[in-house]
Amino acid sequence: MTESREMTIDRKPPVVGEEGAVGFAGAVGKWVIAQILGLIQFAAIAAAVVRQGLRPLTWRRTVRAEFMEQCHQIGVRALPFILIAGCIVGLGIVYQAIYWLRLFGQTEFTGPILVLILVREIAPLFVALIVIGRSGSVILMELGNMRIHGQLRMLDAQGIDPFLFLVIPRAAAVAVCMFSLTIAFILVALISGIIAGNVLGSMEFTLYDFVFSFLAEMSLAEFAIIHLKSVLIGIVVALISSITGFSIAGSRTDLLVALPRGITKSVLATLFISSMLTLLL
Amino acid sequence: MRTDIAERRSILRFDKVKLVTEQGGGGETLDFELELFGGDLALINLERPRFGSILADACCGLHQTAAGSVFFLGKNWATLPSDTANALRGRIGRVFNLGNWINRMTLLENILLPQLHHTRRQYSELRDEAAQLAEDFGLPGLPTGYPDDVIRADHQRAACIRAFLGQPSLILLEEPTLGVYPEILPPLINAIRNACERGAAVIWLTLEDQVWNESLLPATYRFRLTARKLMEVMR
Repeated sequence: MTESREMTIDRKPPVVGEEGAVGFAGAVGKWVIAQILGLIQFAAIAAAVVRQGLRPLTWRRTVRAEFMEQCHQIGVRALPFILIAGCIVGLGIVYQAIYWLRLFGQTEFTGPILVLILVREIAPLFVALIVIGRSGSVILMELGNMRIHGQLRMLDAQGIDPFLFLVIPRAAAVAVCMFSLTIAFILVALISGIIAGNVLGSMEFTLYDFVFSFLAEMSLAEFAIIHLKSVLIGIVVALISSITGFSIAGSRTDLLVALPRGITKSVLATLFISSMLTLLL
Repeated sequence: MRTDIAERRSILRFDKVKLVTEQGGGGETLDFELELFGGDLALINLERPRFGSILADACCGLHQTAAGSVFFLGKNWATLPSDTANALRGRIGRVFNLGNWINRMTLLENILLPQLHHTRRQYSELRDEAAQLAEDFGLPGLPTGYPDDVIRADHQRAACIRAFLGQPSLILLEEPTLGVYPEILPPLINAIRNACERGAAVIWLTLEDQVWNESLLPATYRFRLTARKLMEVMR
């Protein structure tokens, strides 16, 4: 882990130099190579996280305690925000879907449309954005600060691998919490949408019909997509935040530069994973 | 101070070691030739503050050597797999000069963390041992506050508790008296004496002349670490 933290790759965007077009091409080439190396490094760390995460020896009581603490911070404390966001989205999207489909006499499509929009796309993305803003940034700042103040070195000197003690429980906690929060988000969005539909009188079918048609549209692929998207996005967000935090060279200014970079990378990775899984499944 | 020769085992050995102060290359080269057995206390006077953490890191196998090998409990750090090396580091107690505490954890959690990580000892048992050490080092009770809320002197006492908790084989003390000299000296000397009697080795690193000249310290060896090498000083 120490070695991977020490690795720094030049990721500056290409600049046209004095050599003209050749210099520009060289700079672009260097930049592309740096990006590819960065991706390879990220893939290696992700593979190490999965491998170490599956070893029972990794899950000592200190690592388990850290995992529980992170679940509390990332999952339990984020739950109120997720519930509020779910309510707002439910009122908006579910109610709108019910209202407009009823208007056009297409109420039989309510289930499929909600599954397609809410379950497959909006819920994992929305929850991921909240988790990135709320927890990804905290992970990055925390690990970056620990790096700056020599606390990672102290853990190493005590025989506590920072990678095992800090990164793996965070990656596992973000993955578990992302999944749980996504389910909570979907439930609250649906419930608030149905309540809104009933209160405003735009529901032509019973609650039972609605739930049945919704569940009937949930194929194995939909279940798989919720699991895969939330777990994969969770692990990637935690890793991007951790690696960015660990890579901070030494001052608080570096931390402030790294924070928006880490958040941007996390958002881009989330959008990429979400769209790729939607295309594949 | 020294235990019986037959019982003494090699704790730490620097075999023709050269350490470069800058890990990436460059910097000064420090030569080390040293062997500590159970029961030894080596007092090392540092010419520069940076040398302390470099030497302490080298003792823990965290500072790469330019030449030679560092052995801890007969094992060469350079050839150990990371799991084994980490487990061995769990047998080293250390007072750190910098980056002592994880701020989001209480001092007590920080103190217990290495033992909870490396051993299967019961939490209550560790807590009782820490409470006894806290009393020995002059704290009114276990330090349950967060590092940012505790005064420097109590930080230093808590650091000593952590270093001696769990009967480590090697104890590295980087400026343990900083801000608490001389009141911490009697309990610290007692703790060192107890550790040495059960077969641990202790390295005390200091920049302060008053500590270096302290006659109460039961040092087996006295060294000066200059910009070139570790030199034994005869008294």
